[in-house]
Amino acid sequence: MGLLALATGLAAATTPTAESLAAPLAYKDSTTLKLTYSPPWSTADLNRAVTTHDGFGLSVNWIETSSGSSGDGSSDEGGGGHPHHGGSTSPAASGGAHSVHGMGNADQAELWSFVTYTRLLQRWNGSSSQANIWLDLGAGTVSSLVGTNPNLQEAALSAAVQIDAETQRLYGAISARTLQSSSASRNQASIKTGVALTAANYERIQPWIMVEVRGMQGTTMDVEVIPTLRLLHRRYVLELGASLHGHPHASLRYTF
Amino acid sequence: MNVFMALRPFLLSSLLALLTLGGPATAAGTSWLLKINGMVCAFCAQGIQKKLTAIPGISDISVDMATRTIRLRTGEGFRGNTETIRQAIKEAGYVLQSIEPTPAR
Repeated sequence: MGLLALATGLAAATTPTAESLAAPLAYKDSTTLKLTYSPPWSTADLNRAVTTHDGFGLSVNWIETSSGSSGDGSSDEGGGGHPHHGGSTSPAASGGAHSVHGMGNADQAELWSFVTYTRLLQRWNGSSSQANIWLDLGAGTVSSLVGTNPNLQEAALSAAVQIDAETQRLYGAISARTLQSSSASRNQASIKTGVALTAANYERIQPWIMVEVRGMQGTTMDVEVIPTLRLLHRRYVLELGASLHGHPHASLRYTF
Repeated sequence: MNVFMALRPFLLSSLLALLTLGGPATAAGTSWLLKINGMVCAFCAQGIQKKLTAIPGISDISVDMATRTIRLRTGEGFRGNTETIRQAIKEAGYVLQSIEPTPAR
C-alpha cells in the first residue's frame, strides 16, 4: 500500500522529483533519480544538475502519521503509544480513523511535493577522499491523501542540509531536513555510516554494509535504526534492508 | 655541437610538449595517465568517464579505482589541450591532480 501510494503520489506530480539528500547531485548536465521506500518516510526525487554545484528538480515525500499516537509498532491504534514529539499536524483528532495497511498504527498519510533547488556549498576532493556540504531548499504543497483530513491542501516549504565524507572503504553522513506548512511540521535528522566489504572496482559491484539512525518528528516512528546492504555500481546505487522495527527499506539511485 | 648535445634532452622534451597536450595541438594516438582527486567510487568515476567521452578525439578510456587513475587516448580528432581535460573533470565535480603521457597498452 505504501509503495502504491508513493507511486500514486509520483503520478500526481507533474514531473519527476528532485533529489534531496543522500547524494544530491551528480555531474553537470546529468539527471539523477532517487527512489527510497522506507516507511514511515518515503521519498522520490529527480534532480537536474545545471552546473557542478547547482541543481533543480522535484521532490515527493510520502509520510505516514498517526492522529493520536506515535507507535513503535507494538501499541494498538489509538492506544497507549507515546505522543508525538514535535509534529503538529494531524488536524482533526483521532477518533475512528482507519488504519492504513502496512503502516503500523499510522492512520494518516501525507504527500509533500516540492520544486527544489540543490546547492553543493562546498566540496573537498582529497587524493583518496571526498567531503561535501549540501543545501536543499524546496517550495510546494502538502496534501493529505489518506486519513482524517482528506481535504488538507496547503503551501509548504522544505529545507535540508547534509554533510558527508567518504573514502573507498568508509562512508559517513549527517543530515537534517524539515518540512513545514501552516498546520504541519515534519522533521528528520539522520546519521549514516558504512564500510565497504571489498575494494572499489569499476567493473564490478562493490558491496557495503550501511547503518542509518534517523529521528523523525511528526511521523509514526520517532527513531529508527536501519541496517542495509548497499550495492554500488558505476551506474546505480541500490540499498536493501529493514529497520530494527521490521520496516522494509529499499533505495535506488540512478544517474543518466 | 656540444651545446646542441647538452640541450638535446631539453629540445626533445620541448618538442614533445608542443606536440602533445600542453601545446596548441595534440599528438595523434597519444596515451595519457590522469590522476584524479576525489574519485573514490565507481559512481564518481562514471561521471568523469562520461564527461571525457563527450570530448571529440578521446577514446580508450579505462578507469583504475585502485590507483584512482584514468587512462585515455587522444586521437587526431582531439583539438583540445590539458585545460580541456581539466575542465571536463571539473564539470564532473573532481580535480585533475596530474596528467602524464604514458605508454599505450
